[in-house]
Parts: sequence; C-alpha cells; structure tokens
Amino acid sequence: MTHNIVPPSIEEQLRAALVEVADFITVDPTPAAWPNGDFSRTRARTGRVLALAVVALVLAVGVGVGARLTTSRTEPRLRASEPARTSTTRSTTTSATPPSTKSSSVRFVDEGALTVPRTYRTGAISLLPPPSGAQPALTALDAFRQLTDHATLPWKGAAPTAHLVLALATISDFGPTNTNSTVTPFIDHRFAWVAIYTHVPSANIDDLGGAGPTGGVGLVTPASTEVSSTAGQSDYTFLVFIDAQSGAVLDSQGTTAS
Amino acid sequence: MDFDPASFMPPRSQPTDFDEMYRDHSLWAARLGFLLTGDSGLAEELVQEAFLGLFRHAHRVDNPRAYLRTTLVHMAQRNRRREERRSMAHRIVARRDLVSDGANELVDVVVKLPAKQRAVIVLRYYEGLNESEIANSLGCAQGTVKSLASRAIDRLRKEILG
Repeated sequence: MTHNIVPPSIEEQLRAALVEVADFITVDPTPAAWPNGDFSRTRARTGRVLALAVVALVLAVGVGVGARLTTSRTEPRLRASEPARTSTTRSTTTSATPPSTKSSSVRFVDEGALTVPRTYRTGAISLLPPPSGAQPALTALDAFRQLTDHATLPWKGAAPTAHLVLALATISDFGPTNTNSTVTPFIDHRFAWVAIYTHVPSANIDDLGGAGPTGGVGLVTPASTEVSSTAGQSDYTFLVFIDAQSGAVLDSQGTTAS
Repeated sequence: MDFDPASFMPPRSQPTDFDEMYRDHSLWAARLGFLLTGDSGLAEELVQEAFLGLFRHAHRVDNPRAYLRTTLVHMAQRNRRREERRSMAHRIVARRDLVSDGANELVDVVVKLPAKQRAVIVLRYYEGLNESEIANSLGCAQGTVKSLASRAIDRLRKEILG
C-alpha cells in the first residue's frame, strides 16, 4: 500500500515562510555603533552651505530684533501660537535672552533636526534623526527658554553654550526598575529637543542633583555614569531633554563619554 | 498675558500611554514593516513615522494596531527610502541567516511583488486578515483585493513551482 504525501499548498507555504522570517526579526535596543557620516551626505551638505549661511544671517538679524523686543516688554515666555521653525536653520549661533534670571549671558546653537544618529554613554543614550516632516510645537528658542526656566542645571559659573538638536531620544538605562530587574526607560523614542553641552570642564560642574523634573518617579535605576565634581575628569557631556511637543523638561543626563 | 505652560501640555497620562503602546506594538510593527518592504532600514523609518502619527492622533485612535497597520501599508506603497539614510545602521535586525532556505526564497519572491500585491499577501497570510479587513486597510474594494491576491498567488506559484 502506498501513501500519497500531499505537498503543502502555496498558501500554507506562504503562511509558514512569512511567520518564520518574521520570528527572526528583532529590534535592537542599543545599536553598537552608528556611522558618523557618509560620502553622499557630505556632498549634499556642501551644497547647502550657502543656503544655510543666508538663513543664519536672516535669523541673526531676526533674533537680534526679537531679543530687543523681549527685553522691552514685560510679557515674556513662550508663544504657543508661534509656528515652529523648520529644521533648515541648523548651525545658527543665537544669543538668546530668556526671561530667566539664572543667567543673563546664556547662549545656544540651534542645530536643527539631527541627521546622523548619535549615542552617548556607550549606547545607553541614543539620539535618532526624527522622521522626515516631523514638526515640533516648540522652536529651539522656546525649548531653550523652557530649559533655562525649568531644568536643574549644574553650572558653578557661567553657563556653557548649549547645542540644541531635534531628535528621537532614548535613555535605555535610566527609569523605573521592573520586578524582573529590567528597566522601563523614562524616555523611549521621545520626539525631543536635546540640549547638548560638550567639553564642560569639571570645575564648572557643581552637582546634578537628580534627574530633573521627572526624577524620583517610582523606583529609579541610576544612570551608569553620573556626573559629579569629584569624578576627576577634565570634561563632560551634559544633555537636557525637552519634549518637542509639550515643552516639558523631561530629564537631564551627564556622561564622561561624548 | 503670561503664557501658562500647563495649558500647552498634553494630559500627564499621554506619554505613559504612548510608551505602553510603543512597547506593546513596536516589535510587531517592525516585523510587519519588514515584510511589507523587505528592507530593514526603510521599515525602521516607516515604523518611526507610523508611531509619530499615532502619538499625534492618539486621542482619537481606538485601535492603535489597526492604525499602525493601515499607516504602514500606505507608507510602504508610496515611500522610497531616502538615499542619504542608506548607510545608517539599523535597529531592526532581520536574522535571515537563521531562516530556512525555503522560507527565505519564498519571502524574497513576496518582496519583489508589486506593492499592493505584496501588501495583500502579507495582510492575508501573515496578519490573517480577511478580504474585507484587507480592503479597509488598503482603501480599496473587496473585488480588488481578490484580484490582487489571485495575481500574486499565480506569480508566486510560477516563481516557486516553476
């Protein structure tokens, strides 16, 4: 007696193949190394230099006028109705005059939307380029004002220059600890303005004093590298995260690795 | 009048809800995105965009998974990956070296199908949707889904079985 083995139908094969391939697709939570640039982008960037210079000039004039108007009014703060500026105005050094009394000479550089992923603290902090067309509700200036008004900043002396980038931010090693010892990040692919202070000398750092406004929520796993004035390092990178839609200061993190 | 930041902020619960949604659906979305595009980098971009859309519209989305599915299907049909991001390392990792040859071969053929046919096949045989649900996701008539599925199966049969 012979048995006829019926081969699986094309539909059954399809179902099995799609499920098998899908089962081997994972999402890597901590990309080991991101390329810092590529040739095609370098060429494209070169072509934009002139346009950016023009935009920078226009902005510098505009912000100068705006700063004068701001100091002449008693109505400071954010303007919710002000449309967010697009990301084409990166690398524009702006002297901001926020209403905060914490510092009268603070400065920031608006670098616009991130184009190349960056990682800090051996990948625990990752910044990804935001999706094309993503529009923040806050301009860089708005975000900087939120930062100076609401963030806990550790400077002993003059505030260093902040570089503001728009990114999808994740801090994978900082957040409430679950019962199985995993960490639920406070910030996970959050569309945020990230103020980056680089090469901050240790002499200028007083104390981080926790994790900013969101610190202390639940049981918190501390970041693997904390900034402190006794760390003996010559310089630090310090990051502050501001929600690009709500303006909330989400967190601040320090690291000795840039 | 002074600006009141509180009036400008979403409800306090929104980020938490969204984080939960992201945790619940991100792996599934990554897999669907990959099967719809065959490209982990493009899939990553589309998944990010889909979640960003979900974040913006979360207050009026009843079924996040259905929203993400429809968004991914539509974006996969009209988006081409940006050349400038082609060298980017990917967070979506497809370990196709661990997949059997037969399955890889079949999925390779699926990925080469025209976008709408590919979407119908993935939604039917991976997502397990019926014709009506597929028609809703694609925004077309059920008859169109039938026709697309039939042509796709014919093509797959020819490619695989000779």
